[in-house]
Amino acid sequence: MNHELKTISSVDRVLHEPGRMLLAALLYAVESADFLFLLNESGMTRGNLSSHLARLEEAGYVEIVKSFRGKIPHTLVQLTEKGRSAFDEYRAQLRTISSSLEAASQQRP
Amino acid sequence: MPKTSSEIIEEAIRRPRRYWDADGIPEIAIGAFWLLWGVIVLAPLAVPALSNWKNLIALMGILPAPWLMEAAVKKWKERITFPRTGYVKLAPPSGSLRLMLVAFAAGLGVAAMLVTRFKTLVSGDWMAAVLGVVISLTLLQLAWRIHSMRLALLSCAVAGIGIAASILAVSHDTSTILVFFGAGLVCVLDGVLRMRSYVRSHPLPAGEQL
Repeated sequence: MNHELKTISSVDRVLHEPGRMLLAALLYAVESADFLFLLNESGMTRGNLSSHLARLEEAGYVEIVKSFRGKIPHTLVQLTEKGRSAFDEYRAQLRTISSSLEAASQQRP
Repeated sequence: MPKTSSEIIEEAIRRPRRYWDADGIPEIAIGAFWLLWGVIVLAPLAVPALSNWKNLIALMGILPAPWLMEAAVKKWKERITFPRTGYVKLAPPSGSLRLMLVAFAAGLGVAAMLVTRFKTLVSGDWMAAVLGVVISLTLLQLAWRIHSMRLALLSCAVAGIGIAASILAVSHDTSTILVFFGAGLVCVLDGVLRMRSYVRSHPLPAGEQL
């Protein structure tokens, strides 16, 4: 198996889903963000967002802290160190795959 | 040409920084900072008794300004932005970015020092233009960081005010005050308009109260 194929097959399945990839990218630049921000920026439904966050939390990529602001529930989400390094690796893999595809398309007659 | 996955990711990573600028609050704070500079330059001219204390006034006014600005932005965001579109705490800048910002600030400081030192060599008429460009560079670096065309245009407007003040060829102090007040008012006005449109397009969700 050549290096490019290995890269494709070893892509992180948790992050290689558009919704979760977007959430990880949004959380990457921040220290923490709340549910409302992620809801607005991702354009997902509440249920969809909750299930993606639960999947990311299960993988140990995000930490979710639930609290109350007055009487209103407040959910704060933060990318963990594990999540951050997994996302770094995923970005590097995507870049490798993109450049391999580009090189292959240029070689084609 | 369609965007690649990597480009989409990079765009998504920049979004929280853009979000920080979506409500106009940072522009209002930056504008207030330049207005404060204007007041500091104007005060000894308006009240001659203060002219002996002008360096102390400048120091007392400018030193706490960044902390006050940060606290005010945080307070306003907690009141206006976070209940509407969500809370975000931006990550502190990375080591290299911090170094770059320090180098940029030092560069501006050196430029300001050179301008002051050689103001007898540079025609007084051009001092306002130089000042306008220096102020516009501070906005431009913010525009570059968050990829904001609007802030880039705002920085051009500020540079334009400096050049206009130079062309008007008024006295050095008056043109300096014109640049500070012009830059401050442009930023505050832009921020207020942006905040108005933000508040209109993002009503408070049910259950939230100001």
